[in-house]
Amino acid sequence: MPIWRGTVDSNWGTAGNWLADGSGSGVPTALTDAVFDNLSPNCTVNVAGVCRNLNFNSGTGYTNTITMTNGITVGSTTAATASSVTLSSPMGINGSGSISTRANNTITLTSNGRQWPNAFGIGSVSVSSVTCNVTFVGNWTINGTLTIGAGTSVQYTFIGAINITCNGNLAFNIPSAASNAIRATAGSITTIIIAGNCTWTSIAPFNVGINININSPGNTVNIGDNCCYGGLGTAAGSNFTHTAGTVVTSGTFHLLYASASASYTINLNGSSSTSATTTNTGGVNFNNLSLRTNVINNAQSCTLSSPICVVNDFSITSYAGVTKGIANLLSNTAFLNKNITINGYSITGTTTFRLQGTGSWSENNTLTSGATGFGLSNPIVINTTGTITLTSFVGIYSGSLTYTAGSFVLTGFGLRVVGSTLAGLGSAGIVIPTLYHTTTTAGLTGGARITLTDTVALQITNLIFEGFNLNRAFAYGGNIGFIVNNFNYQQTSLVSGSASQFGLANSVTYVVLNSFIFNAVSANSSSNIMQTLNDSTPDAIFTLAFGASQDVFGMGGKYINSSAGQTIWSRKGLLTSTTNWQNWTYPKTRFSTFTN
Amino acid sequence: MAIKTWTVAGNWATGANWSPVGVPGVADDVVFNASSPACTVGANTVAPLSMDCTGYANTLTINANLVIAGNVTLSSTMTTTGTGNLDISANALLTAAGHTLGVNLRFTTINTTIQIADTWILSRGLTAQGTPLGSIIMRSSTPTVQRTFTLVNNGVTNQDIDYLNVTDINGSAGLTVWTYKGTVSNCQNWFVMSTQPPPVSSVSMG
Repeated sequence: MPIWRGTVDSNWGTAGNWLADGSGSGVPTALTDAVFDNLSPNCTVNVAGVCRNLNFNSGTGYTNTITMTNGITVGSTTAATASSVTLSSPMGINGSGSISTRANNTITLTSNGRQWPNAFGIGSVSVSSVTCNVTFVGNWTINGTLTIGAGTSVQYTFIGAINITCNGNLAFNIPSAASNAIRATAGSITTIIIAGNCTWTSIAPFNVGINININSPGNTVNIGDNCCYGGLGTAAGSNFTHTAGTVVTSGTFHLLYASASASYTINLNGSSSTSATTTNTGGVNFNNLSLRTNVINNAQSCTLSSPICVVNDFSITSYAGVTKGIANLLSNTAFLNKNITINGYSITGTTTFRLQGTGSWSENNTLTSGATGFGLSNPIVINTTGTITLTSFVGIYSGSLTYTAGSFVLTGFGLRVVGSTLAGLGSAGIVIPTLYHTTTTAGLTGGARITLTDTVALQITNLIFEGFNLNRAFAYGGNIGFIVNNFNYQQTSLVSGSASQFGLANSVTYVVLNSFIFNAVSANSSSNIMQTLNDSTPDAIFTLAFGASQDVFGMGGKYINSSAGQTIWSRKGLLTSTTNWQNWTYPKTRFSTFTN
Repeated sequence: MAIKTWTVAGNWATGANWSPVGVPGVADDVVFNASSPACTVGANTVAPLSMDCTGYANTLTINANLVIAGNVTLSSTMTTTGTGNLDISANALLTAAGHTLGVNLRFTTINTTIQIADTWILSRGLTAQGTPLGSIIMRSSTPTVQRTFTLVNNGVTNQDIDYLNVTDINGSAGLTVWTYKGTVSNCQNWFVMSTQPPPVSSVSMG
């Protein structure tokens, strides 16, 4: 390993300055090491330096000064060969040249308490490796730009519960791919502290599992497009935190979701203001936020320790090739000030999505009959002085939609709802053009119940039931009913079992104004019953307005009082304790006819 | 696939009563000929491809569902009786050949077409099990030429007809026939029940 002696001059590139030993001689190459010890004099990197390992801490450590007129690339061009950078505490560092490490399988970085004043690259030079394990010994402070990644697909794993204080810019140079990541190590999570007046950039969204902490008091941190956190490679305790400093965001920030990965936490102190901007002196307001997912099951969760704020577009997105992935956001509130676009879904999300600006809400989902995997389980609250406009049908999946204030425009679209609560829409006079009441998978006993909470009945133009399969427990709970123009319940398959019943809340009034289609595909089935939720009195009030059309086959009634409207005529439905329901029968004698 | 001929009096489900031996399966055709003895259907059958009773002069007692997945030809010299149904479960051509059917005739499969080849007289009833998912078509085997199809007005003949589209059928010799949510075209004494009853509905019996 060539040892720096500087016996000819002070230039790195002079072969005679390097003392040969058994592993090499002359100017270091990618196959040999560059060693500095307590006997090494000053050194000027007068050429682009290359070495396999760069060690400034041989003997009792380098005490003189290296002048970084050029940069040094550390690491073998053979991916399997380990490399390392070791600083020494008393060494002097001049010049602005960088250290760049190749993305070898194994890199060890030891600071010995010495700050690196210039740019530093971790795995930032490409080599034919698919993994790059980086072990840190001691905390690191880097005052120049910290670059991670070589622009090629490599999975990085950081090992060591140390802090990398980044006083310069932070640049992620890792392309987007489902497996590309900066992974954390369980029980030994590395933290990058963004501490400077700096910019954080990323060439693409990918998985980040190590901790990131913005702690830059008195400074401004700019977060650029495609910066990202979460996904593959998180470990228990992984977090993205804002501690101090002004943050300005641009472009889209991505929270990643991966399969079978540890849940992670973000604590960013987003603004709750309806006039929030992308500059936040006390936290992070996202310009655009994407929940980016590549899994359709077993998805990890992201928990909010404090609110988040999205100034412009909030979305759930999916990697190419993933039709719809899961993105669960847990706890606290997401203050969403503009548009919402859903191309994926949540199934256990609990973060309240507060729509508090003017924007659109859409879901890129075909939402076909019986579709699964759609919509939001998060509580959604419309509380705005602006206007929220649907630009497609949107799904509410085991969640809730609460209207508090503002304009909510649904023209031409509507909702697809599974087992959720709808509140406040009726009293606001909001008419849902089309509401698809949907079931999804078998065994959802009661799971398709819609709970209506309000002081005024929910108005729906077209109420359509679908998603029929083995178990169709359509039901309505809550303290209020609905007023529907067109009611369309058309079974598409034979069912059996009590869970297929159609439930209405006791003593609550439901009204159909224009058209009532209530068709089973099997006649005389005890399963095909409109009945009260508790299968007992008091009756639910189901009124079919005079003049409305009706088409009822195989559906019966039980504890249903329809006396306030026209008689409901059921062809082969079982009627038990109904009021103003009749069975369709016809005469058996010749020449009979119906007359008024 | 085989032709199964009824040869020994007894129960349909007894294989030894058939020639060749074996209860008819779904790929078989069933024959009752002039030599065939009486037969009793005591349990629901599988659905042979057809049943030809030409020349049969004995009694076919149907106390369960005799299911035929195709053409049926009866004979004027045979007798049908029992509490069961003659079920037609697929597209079929039905030929009565002068026989008065003494069991309920039932069309069981949606989206099938039943062609009536000649005059039919039903003394027990007609059932059509169309559903909102699909209707059943019943029509003359010769377009525009009406077939006489009579539900005998005997006080016991039943009708239970849903989603049946009827064409070129003359029912004027028997009960008025009502189809729930079907269509009627070039028929006599067949009507479609309105799906919308009158606000005040009553029935006037003729």
